[in-house]
Formats: sequence, C-alpha cells, structure tokens
Amino acid sequence: MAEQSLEPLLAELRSMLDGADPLPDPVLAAAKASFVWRTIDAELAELSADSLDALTGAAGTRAAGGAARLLTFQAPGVEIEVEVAETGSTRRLTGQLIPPAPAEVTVRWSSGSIETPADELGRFTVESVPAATVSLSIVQPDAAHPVVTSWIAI
Amino acid sequence: MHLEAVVVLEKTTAELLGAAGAGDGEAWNALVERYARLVWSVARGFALSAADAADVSQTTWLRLVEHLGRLREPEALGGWLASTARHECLRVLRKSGREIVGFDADIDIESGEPTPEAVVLDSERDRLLWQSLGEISQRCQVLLRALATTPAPSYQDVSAALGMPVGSIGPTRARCLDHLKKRLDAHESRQRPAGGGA
Repeated sequence: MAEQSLEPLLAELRSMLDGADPLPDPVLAAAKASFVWRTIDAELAELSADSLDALTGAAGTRAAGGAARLLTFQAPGVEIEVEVAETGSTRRLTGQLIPPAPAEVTVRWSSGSIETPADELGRFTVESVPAATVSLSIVQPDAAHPVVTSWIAI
Repeated sequence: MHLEAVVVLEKTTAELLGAAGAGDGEAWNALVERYARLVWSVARGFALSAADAADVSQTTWLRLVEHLGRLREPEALGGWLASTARHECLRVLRKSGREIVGFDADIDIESGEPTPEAVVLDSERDRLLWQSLGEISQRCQVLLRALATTPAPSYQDVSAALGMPVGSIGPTRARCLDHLKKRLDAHESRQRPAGGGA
C-alpha cells in the first residue's frame, strides 16, 4: 500500500538527483584511468589493520587533532607497518618491513612517486607525501615478485 | 520486408571482470560506466563533500584494480564496490572527527546541522526535494540515493552500501520514502497560503 504510492517519489528523486548531483566527468575519467595501475606480477599486501578503524566518537575527534595513524599490510611472507604522520598539508610515512630486510620502497600516487631505500633492518622514511590515495611498492633484492600494498587514502 | 534483428547482448559483470583482469581496457571502462554512479551515490549519501566523494571514488576503483582476478564472487561486484566505498566514507568521516551518530537508529538530521550545500535547480519542487533529502536520517539518505542510482542497483548492492541485511532493505526503503514525503509535504504546505485548495 504505502510502498506503492511512494514509488513516484523515488522516480522524482532520481530525476532531481540526475540534475542536482550528477557524477562529475573528472570522477568518471579518474575511475577509468585507474586501470593503468593494474599489476600483473606483483604480490598484493592487503590492509590488515588501520588504527583509524578502531576509533569511534570522541577518540576519533582526538585523532583528527594530528596523532599518527598506524597501518599494517600483509602479504604471504612479508608484513609492512607504516606510520602516517600529518606534517602540514603533506604526510610523513615511517615504515618497517617484517621480517627486516633491505628493499627499494616506492610510494606511488596518481600523479607521482617517491623512491627510498629500506635499510638492512627494513626501516624506511618518506617525507612530503601528498595527502592522496597512495600505494607502496616494495622490491627486495632476491624476491621473485615485487610486493604492492592496497591503495589507501592518507 | 526484411527487418534485421539487432541483438545487443550485454556482457555480464563477471565476463567484464574476467576480461579486465586479462588486460582489456574496454571491459574496464564498461564496468566503470556500470557502477561509477553507485559508488558516487554512496559517498554523497554519507554527506561527503564533492572533493571527499571524488577521493572515495578514486580509492574504491583503485582497490578494484588491485583485486582484479581476486574477487571471490564476481557477480556480486556492485555490492563489493558499495561496501568498499562505505568503509572508505567511514574512514573519511573518522579522520575529520565527524563520526555519524545514530546511523542504525534512523535519527533525522538535527536542525542545527549545516543545511545541504546549495545546488542549481530549476523547479521549486526539486529544490524542496533536495532540502528534504538532506534532512532525513543519514542511513535513509544513503539508501535512497543508492536506490535512485541509474542503472538501478540490486537490493544486494544496496545492502552492502548500508551494511544492512538484504531482508531489511524493503521495509527500510518504505520507511525512508515515507520520511522524505513527510518532510516534503511539510515544506510545501509552509509555502502555500493557508486554506488554498485547488
């Protein structure tokens, strides 16, 4: 009964939103362009923990005040811990590879990248990363495949 | 007279996913065309600004790129995207200290909250509808925006956008439309001169 009579309202809403809040062309174009990041031979390290997810309410509000965010990515055989600190409008990433090992680490985002070595203890720091959606690529000297992390907005 | 039958077979989502996973850029674009509006609707339903919604969209599609060939249920892609977008929205809200209070309780937006951003609308009716949409509960906004997406999503997709069981989408949809109608009626009656009948 009620549901039937309200169907025209949903149609009206659809038509209103098509005009008032359409999908912007640049958003559609960016979604299509993200296909260039397809990797064929890389191992994916998925996000397994994000300190932000554990926060709710007041704690979340406090976190917004600038406390560091801790991310953990896991792939078979390697774990990557990354602390994200807000440094003005950019971010500083401090990372640790587990087990500790040297590697070439690259932080990638849609319009650029920064490369840095991880030392023999698997530690690395990357300064001035833009507040964007990023992914890390880790190439260890004798690994068969590079490891890439899940994309994450920082 | 001979009429040539033109049969356009739409590829299934699973077929497109398989092709995109094998490197077919056209298949990827077709997937984006099919689901980009749903992802956008979810982000806007969570009251994200256009800039934040654009970021959520970008992160969601990059997540799909990295998961090509790894999805367990290719046919459930709409739900996977909606759920990924929802999680990203919640992260954006937490990061800015804007946790949504009472999402599951369908609490209407407080009158002290900022009003929905102004948009250009030709008709007064649409303007009131936009305003009314911004006043109902956040969950109703996500649900109705998702349902109003073109092409129409399945209830599975909508349930993933909300993190709600599929079985409760129907009743919630009816309730949310009812809330929207009441708001709209209230605004319209305030605009009309008292006692003015047709």
